[in-house]
Amino acid sequence: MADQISYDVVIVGAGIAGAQMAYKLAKNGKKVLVLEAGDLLPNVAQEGPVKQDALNKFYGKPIKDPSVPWPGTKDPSIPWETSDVKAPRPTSPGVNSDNTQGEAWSMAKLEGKPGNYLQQTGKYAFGSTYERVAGGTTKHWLGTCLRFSPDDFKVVSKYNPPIPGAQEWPITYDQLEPYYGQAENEIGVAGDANVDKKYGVPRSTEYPMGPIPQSYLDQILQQRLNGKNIDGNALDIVSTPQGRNSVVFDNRPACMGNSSCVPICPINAKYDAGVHVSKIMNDPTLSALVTFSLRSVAYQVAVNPADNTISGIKYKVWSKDSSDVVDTVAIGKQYVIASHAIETAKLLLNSPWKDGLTVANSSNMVGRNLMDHICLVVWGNLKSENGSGYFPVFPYRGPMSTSGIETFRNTPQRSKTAAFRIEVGNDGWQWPYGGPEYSADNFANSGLVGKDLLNAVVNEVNSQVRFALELETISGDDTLASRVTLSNDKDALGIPRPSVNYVIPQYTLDGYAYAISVAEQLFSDAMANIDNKTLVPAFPLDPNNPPAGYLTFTPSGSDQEIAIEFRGAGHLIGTHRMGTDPHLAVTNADLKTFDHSNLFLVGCGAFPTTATSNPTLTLSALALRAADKIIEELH
Amino acid sequence: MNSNDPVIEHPTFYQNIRLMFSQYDQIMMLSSGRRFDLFDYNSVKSMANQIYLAIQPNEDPNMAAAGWSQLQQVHIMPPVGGPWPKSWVLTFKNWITDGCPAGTDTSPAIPAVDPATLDAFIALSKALTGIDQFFRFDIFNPDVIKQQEQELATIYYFRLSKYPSTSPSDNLNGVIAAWNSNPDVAAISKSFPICKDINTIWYNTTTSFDGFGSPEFNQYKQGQVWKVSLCHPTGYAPENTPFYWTNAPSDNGEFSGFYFVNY
Repeated sequence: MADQISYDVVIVGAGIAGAQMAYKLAKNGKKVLVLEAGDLLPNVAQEGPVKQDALNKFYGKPIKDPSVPWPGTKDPSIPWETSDVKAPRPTSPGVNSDNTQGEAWSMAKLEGKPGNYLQQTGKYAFGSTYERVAGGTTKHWLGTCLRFSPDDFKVVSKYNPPIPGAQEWPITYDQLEPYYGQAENEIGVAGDANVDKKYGVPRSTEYPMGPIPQSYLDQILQQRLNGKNIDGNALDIVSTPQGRNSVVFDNRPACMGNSSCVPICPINAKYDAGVHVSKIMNDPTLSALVTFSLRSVAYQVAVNPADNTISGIKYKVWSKDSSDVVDTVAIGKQYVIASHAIETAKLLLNSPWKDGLTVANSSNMVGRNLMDHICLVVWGNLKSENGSGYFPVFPYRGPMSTSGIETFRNTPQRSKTAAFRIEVGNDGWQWPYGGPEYSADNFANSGLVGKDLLNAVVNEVNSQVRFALELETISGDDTLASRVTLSNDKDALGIPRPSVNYVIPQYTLDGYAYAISVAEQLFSDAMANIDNKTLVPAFPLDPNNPPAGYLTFTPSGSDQEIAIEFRGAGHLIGTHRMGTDPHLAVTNADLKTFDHSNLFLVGCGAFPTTATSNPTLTLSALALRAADKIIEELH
Repeated sequence: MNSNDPVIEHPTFYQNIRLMFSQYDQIMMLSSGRRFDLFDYNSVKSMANQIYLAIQPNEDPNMAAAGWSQLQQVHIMPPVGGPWPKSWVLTFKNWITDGCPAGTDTSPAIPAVDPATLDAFIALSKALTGIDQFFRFDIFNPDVIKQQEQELATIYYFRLSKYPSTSPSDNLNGVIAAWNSNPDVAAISKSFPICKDINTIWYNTTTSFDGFGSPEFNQYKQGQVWKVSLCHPTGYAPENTPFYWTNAPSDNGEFSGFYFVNY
């Protein structure tokens, strides 16, 4: 049964953390096995027609949700036992089964069905998804590469937020700073160091390339908002650092503005972790050291009872061409689980250890503290400054976002409510409503014809603007119930499927309430002057069964319950948080588990707080740092 | 085709060669002023030798001879992630040696529509959509525009022919007949609910219409909504003006992301 080859390091998952660690470990001469549940999707069209097939799939779908081009959706009419989808993934809970071949969250819940791959048991839906293919969820990331600010690592001690049991980071900005530089180079981040300097984020290195230029839309908004502020926070539209090329870099072209960053960059100007998979596979020295075992689903971590070290990882190898499944074990000196927050928790919870415990879980924290950046997405039409009609800003051009308003990320307000950043979209209403084709359909179906139809479409589409206010969550007592557990239902390989009970804590919801007031001011005539078209949910909602993406809550200090629509940012955070206290955390600052001396858990599952930055750059920096710790241990 | 495929001794265009070109290659060719279509057999055959030079490794001086160095430096082509594998280059060479055989085009043939009916459908469509010219700022040759309009209208004609009528006259031929007898678009649009779908199919061709068929993926880029709004289909921006999105688009389509000279 046992694989006879022993590796220096066994890594579960070929996403950004796993692939970049494998690359760094191999550069240091280490022999690595990477178990990837899904398949290899050639990164460039020249490696086969797969990428073009993925693009064609994207072109042909009326709803272009983040997973449209990628495999892993199971036809709900086929039982799990006979499904050929062996590495399934969640489908967007708000999208109905016609589009994703999954189960709509609220419908499945209403009908008492087990739902799609990711089962949901909470009062409201967890809105984010991930991919199970080589390259992982960077196959559908936007590419935003903001660093955390130094205060993000000490938010609890600095601001004393009203969060029972709030957890602090066990690492400082200064400790991580060198690895931020490494991560920016590995990813290829285009950015403007002056923006970091302006907001108190020190750098010891330059960005590998200059920033992606801001869009025309950004420039118009900046003109409108120049010199204005809300609650003392300047409304500056500043360039966002991004993992997409502004020049030819790393043998990849500069961004051509295909505007489909999520989910697919047609020309690979945007980084995804397939870049590191390809770098390894195309380099004779590195490929001799790193073995990618594709279609290999890890399902259990085995422990040596003598010293509590990890002795192997059991996995099932599935075939594309037959129903044959091979059960085997991967053996190494060090082990890394890099499967994203939900799959990492699932694997650990499915791994018995001793005394009724599961692996790495003496703290009983594995699977808990599942977080996301919940988003308040607001949209409308920019009005003409003279008050008549709309002002064209020409969205749907360029990367989906090139700028943001960053001044709400670190203010004294954090002592009361969650911080947020404001992403400025170049993608019109694509995210919250639908692209220009939806406007055209609606006007056509309203009966408009001829020039009336044409003018209505042009007038609405050209002036569309969209902002996303993305909120911080800090893990504490309230997020303990926000957790991943194992379902009694199994997937096609007989492995328990993950179940999620999602809870958004009061501090974050209070931040949402504050964000609403900021958005209203931002849209006002005195500020950006936007005709607000944001859909406000009908009230009252059934608090026990709201539609996906909705919930009701009562803001602190108020006796008035409100209904909100919130969206997931695709940032799956928590479930194996890092810390200093083994009773409250799963890993230490090096991402090594407290319970097993040769087991590391990487990925944004390790974050004790979400801060407000998109998490990928920080998870990459932490993974590269963990790789150095592993190299030290192997010596 | 896959990068580790063996060299094919006797390749054909439709079975082997066309699969080796990516969308990025196609965009670069169309937008670099070379005016040929890498997915079209006759185009590729006519330029086979130049393409062969172009797919040599980057450092090959023949690259310059083929004109690649004239491209914007931020958009060097090829490669995206690496040059063509050697086996592909040799396969392409074998194709030239064999005289560029076409092979069998497995694309389904599009049946013809009576020319007068098609002309009436195009005229009706323009009146309903309010769009005077369907191929704005990517095609400038009037003959080519007419040919492309007819090809697209033929596809839409057959899709709309599957429209599930709610009354005996509310169908495509019924509305075309009404247009031929009295081209009053306001009146016709009130009498024939199918007019809404004629508008939708031209503006947003990827809409799935219940009961009368889903489009092929390759119709996505033809949606008129992109051009009238001076933007481009998401996932397809052939304009190679670096960072075009920093400018307001011009009425001729420049800086829309969709601007290129096709024919």
